[in-house]
Amino acid sequence: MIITKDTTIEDLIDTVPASVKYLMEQGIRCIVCGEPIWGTLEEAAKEKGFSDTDIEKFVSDLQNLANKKNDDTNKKDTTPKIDIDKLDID
Amino acid sequence: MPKGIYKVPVAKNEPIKSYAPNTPERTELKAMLNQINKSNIEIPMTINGKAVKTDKKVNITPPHNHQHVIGYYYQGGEEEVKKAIEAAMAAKEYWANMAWEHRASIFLKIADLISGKYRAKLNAATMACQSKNAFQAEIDAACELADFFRFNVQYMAEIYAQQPDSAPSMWNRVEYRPLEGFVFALTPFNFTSIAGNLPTAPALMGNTVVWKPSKTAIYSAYVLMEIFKEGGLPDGVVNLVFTSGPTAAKVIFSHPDFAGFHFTGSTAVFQSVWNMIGNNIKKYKAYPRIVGETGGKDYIMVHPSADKDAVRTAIIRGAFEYQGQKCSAASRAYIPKSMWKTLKNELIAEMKTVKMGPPEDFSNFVNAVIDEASFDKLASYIDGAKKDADAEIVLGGNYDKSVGYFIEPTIIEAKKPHYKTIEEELFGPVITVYIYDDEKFDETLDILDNTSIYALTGAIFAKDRYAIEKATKRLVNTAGNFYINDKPTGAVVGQQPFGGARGSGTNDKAGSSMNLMRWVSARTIKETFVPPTDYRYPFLSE
Repeated sequence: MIITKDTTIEDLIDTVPASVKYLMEQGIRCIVCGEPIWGTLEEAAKEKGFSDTDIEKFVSDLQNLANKKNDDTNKKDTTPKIDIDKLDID
Repeated sequence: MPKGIYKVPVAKNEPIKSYAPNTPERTELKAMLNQINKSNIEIPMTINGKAVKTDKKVNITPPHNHQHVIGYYYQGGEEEVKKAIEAAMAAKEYWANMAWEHRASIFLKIADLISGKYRAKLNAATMACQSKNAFQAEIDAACELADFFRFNVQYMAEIYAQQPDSAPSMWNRVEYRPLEGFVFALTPFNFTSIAGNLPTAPALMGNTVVWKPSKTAIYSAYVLMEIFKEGGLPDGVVNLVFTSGPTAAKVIFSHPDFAGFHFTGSTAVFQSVWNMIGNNIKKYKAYPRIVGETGGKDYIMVHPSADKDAVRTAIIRGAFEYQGQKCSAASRAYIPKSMWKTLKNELIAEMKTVKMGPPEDFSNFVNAVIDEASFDKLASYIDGAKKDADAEIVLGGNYDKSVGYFIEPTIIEAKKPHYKTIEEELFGPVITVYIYDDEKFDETLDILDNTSIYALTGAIFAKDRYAIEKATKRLVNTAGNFYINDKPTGAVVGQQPFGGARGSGTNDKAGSSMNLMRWVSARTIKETFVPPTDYRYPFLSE
């Protein structure tokens, strides 16, 4: 995924889950009541008083996270950890 | 045309089933859960009663077992939202003109279907996809939703019966017309009952609706549409779309027929919506009704005279039931120093008996939080507390997302009264406590009132009646649902109308006639039997 300042928070969270923690560390709460806030990365950052330079850094850092996630996904073992038949109780 | 002034059935709260071992409801629910877990459910949108599919499929996975796919839904976009609006507007005239007692019958039938034939399916859908345990699903999906329909029908009849007096030779009547346009319902994941009530409360009053559920509560929404159809709700009255909130908002809030918004969710989204509506205000035929419930930072205020066992139970249930994912969840507590040491040890001991895991295992009291984003957010707060000198984790603090999104029930002790986890809504199984000197009860009430933007629910625990009276008065604006010696969750329709002010929303009290009044536009009719035929008044004579 290519991330820009116009990427919506919802798309960002859906495709780069690590962005939640990253944005929280910057003071941007992007999940409230279990749902993503509306708007773009730029809008969320500006509301918190961040500058254009800050936002460019956010974009760069988040893109790195997105790229890292892609690398991890390619290596990830997606074998289910639970045998669903074992959930038959009674 | 009606040939009588009808009395609707008196509403009574749906009894809660126990799901104890060897009960028929437990057997039926487990069988339904097994069926869901082994299925591959296909979920289209429902627009004008028709299944609508797109080329974008999104998987549905249980939060407690996120690698297990149990089905998928079709994601829509602006086109589907436009079609939903068209369907709602096309259905409007017939629905608005249906006699009220027939609308009432539809929803009373739906209530009976929910509490009977569909009880297990709706509960199981809520358990499997929203990670509620059997009891939390029962009180929500089965009982609270049936209550909403039965009590709302009763409230509708009460509203219609509110009529003005008439002077001699005239007859004054008030008609409670539906709004002129369509209503948009945007619903949360955490209560299937709220998801069902937000679109149907306006519909009961004659409105037609576009409904967008949370993407993590799609299956229960789909089961509800199935029930609505069987209940006889005509096509187009409620139209179900799956798309992002901003996508729906872009189409809906710029539409001239937008008439009302019924919402439960975050303050951030609600404020975005107010801005959008304000910016489009000149486009609308009428001023839209904006109704929302938007979260809480709900408190337990403990007086030194309080019953410690009751406080302990209120903290465990109020903070950790449904993993703290209730707007009403206890997420901060103010505890006197004289009680804290013993209470802390008892909480730690008691919590060792609490199990966490998937809801299929009925011995699990706590299940998973709704998704990875919520998990990561909560983990972030917990990690922050671990590093911060102003906080101490006294219970829990662990988390694991390898199989499901599990956050351990956690108690943070804040050393300062405005530490971030005592101010901000976390929406998880984390409660922050602040310990105060016993003689500073009054001062602590002031601190409580000036902490957090929210004012949804709160509780005072005390045996001292003067303390109860003082707290009730002093905390008057801190909660729209105020509890005395009870946890701040669990409002029941027909008993505790629910809602709060300040940052918690418009306080329109879901499950009451106050809420239904928001979906009507009154018309006063005055009929004069023998109108005057001369303009002159007696005072004009000499």
